Amino acid sequence: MAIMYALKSSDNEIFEVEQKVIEQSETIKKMIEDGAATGEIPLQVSSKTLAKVLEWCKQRQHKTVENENDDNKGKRKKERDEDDDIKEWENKFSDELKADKDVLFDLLLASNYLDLPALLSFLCQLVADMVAGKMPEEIRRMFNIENDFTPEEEKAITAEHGWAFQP
Amino acid sequence: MVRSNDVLFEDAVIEILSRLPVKSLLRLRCVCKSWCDLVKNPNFISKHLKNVDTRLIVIYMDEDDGTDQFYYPTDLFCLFTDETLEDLSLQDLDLQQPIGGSVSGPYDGIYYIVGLDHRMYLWNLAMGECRRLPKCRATFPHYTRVLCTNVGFGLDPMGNDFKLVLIFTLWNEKRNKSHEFSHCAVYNLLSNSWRDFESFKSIHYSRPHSYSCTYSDGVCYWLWNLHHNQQIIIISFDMGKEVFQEIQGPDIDESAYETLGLYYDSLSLLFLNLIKNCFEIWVMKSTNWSKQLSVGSIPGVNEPLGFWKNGSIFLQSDSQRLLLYDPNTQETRDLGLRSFSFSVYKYKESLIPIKGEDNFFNFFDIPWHVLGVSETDTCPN
Repeated sequence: MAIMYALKSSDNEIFEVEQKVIEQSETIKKMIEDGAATGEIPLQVSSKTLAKVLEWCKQRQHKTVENENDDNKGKRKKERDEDDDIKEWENKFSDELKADKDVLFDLLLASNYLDLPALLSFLCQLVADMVAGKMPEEIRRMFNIENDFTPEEEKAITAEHGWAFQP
Repeated sequence: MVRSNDVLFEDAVIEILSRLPVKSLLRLRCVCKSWCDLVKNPNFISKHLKNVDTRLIVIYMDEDDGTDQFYYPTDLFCLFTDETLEDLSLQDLDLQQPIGGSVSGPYDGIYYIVGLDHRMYLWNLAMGECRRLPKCRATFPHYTRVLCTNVGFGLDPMGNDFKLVLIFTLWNEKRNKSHEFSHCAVYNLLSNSWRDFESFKSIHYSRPHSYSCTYSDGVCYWLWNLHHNQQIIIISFDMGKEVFQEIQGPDIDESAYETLGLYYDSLSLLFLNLIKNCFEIWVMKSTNWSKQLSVGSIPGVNEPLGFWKNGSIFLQSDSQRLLLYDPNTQETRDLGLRSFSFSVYKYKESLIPIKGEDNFFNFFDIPWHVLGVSETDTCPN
């Protein structure tokens, strides 16, 4: 029987999760080891975001368990199929996040807070791909950043590598 | 939006930006002052170099298709735009100035070029920035000319600056033989200046291989031979301590087409074993060599060219095709190019700032040949 833990989101929703799934988060693992986690584990993450975090963790957990049960024979073919499955799952996961930027940024912060390096790296790459082709003004809006250059300063920097602004 | 947790978010922004192409970053410097400073930050530049994809650059000779009566073979520089090499689209690289002597690199996205004016240039391909280096005023004995120059470039992790190292092999024109000693000069990117460096005895070496270096973890390596028995020798230069060292090569059968490179990040030698007629990869771990891989003979393929990612190697077939061999799947792929000579290079875009005092290219946008630079402007000999 798997050990279950109850996670409590910032808006007081309870998520029942297997220990193995949630131990991927170094932050929660430490809380469990320190004995701080009796009963419900309160987290500074909204239920919407936490649901996404758990979706990721379960998918990852799946992968590691299957690999452990593998024997070496025929592994290559199986691995390739698995890679395809994971890619497909990741694409779907990315598409959902791209459609809702608030969730994406919240998830980014949550993966940092919960210490989930694989998810953090995945999300950073996702945002990088979204940002790569954009113009400075679009980025300011997207990240809510104030332009602290004077128009002259901005013009000078733009002129330095003018070709970078061409498509 | 996500302004509640600014400090956390700053870390995430650095992670995100370090995964962007150079072109995007040059554009996004305009977003705000802190982003602009970040792109110039040496730690960020190193982080970016680690995260950015490695792509392939091939230099090859074009072929006479019989249509041009004034045909003369020229070197073509091409970048494979897809880092996975699934898509084989090529982009021609514009070197910006005619090359007089040699091109070496790329090292961390930087090329070393000797121009038609005999001056030395560093060129950051991704940023389109070029620097003409100040003259290297090395003093040589009378009746001396530079026979060949070995080039090294890379980060000095102790000084946190990039250095260019040149080893000049000198020819005594009066006696018609090599000088006993090689002369070395080191250039610092930050201070934009040269220093003469102690010479070392080199008469017992020969340099039949590439003049370029392989850089790994603060050390440059060149592949040389012992003159009397052709035994393989690696000459290393520690960029931080500025010390040369001679490293024994591996004890191998009679070989051909030796090339030095990084195989899974370790310094390695790739060659054709002439006795067993197979390709071998030997890896150096703390100056000890061990055979890592032996690839049985592939019909019609005899020349190994260099290392690629995930243990793959480039080969040239007897029918002058460029091939990529993957030892994991034992598959060979044709990369769609034909030439009698190929050079293959791993390339990473970098943010290393090259623009400097001596760079008049970016001040005046005049084509090189119009400037009328005279040939008498010689350096370093």
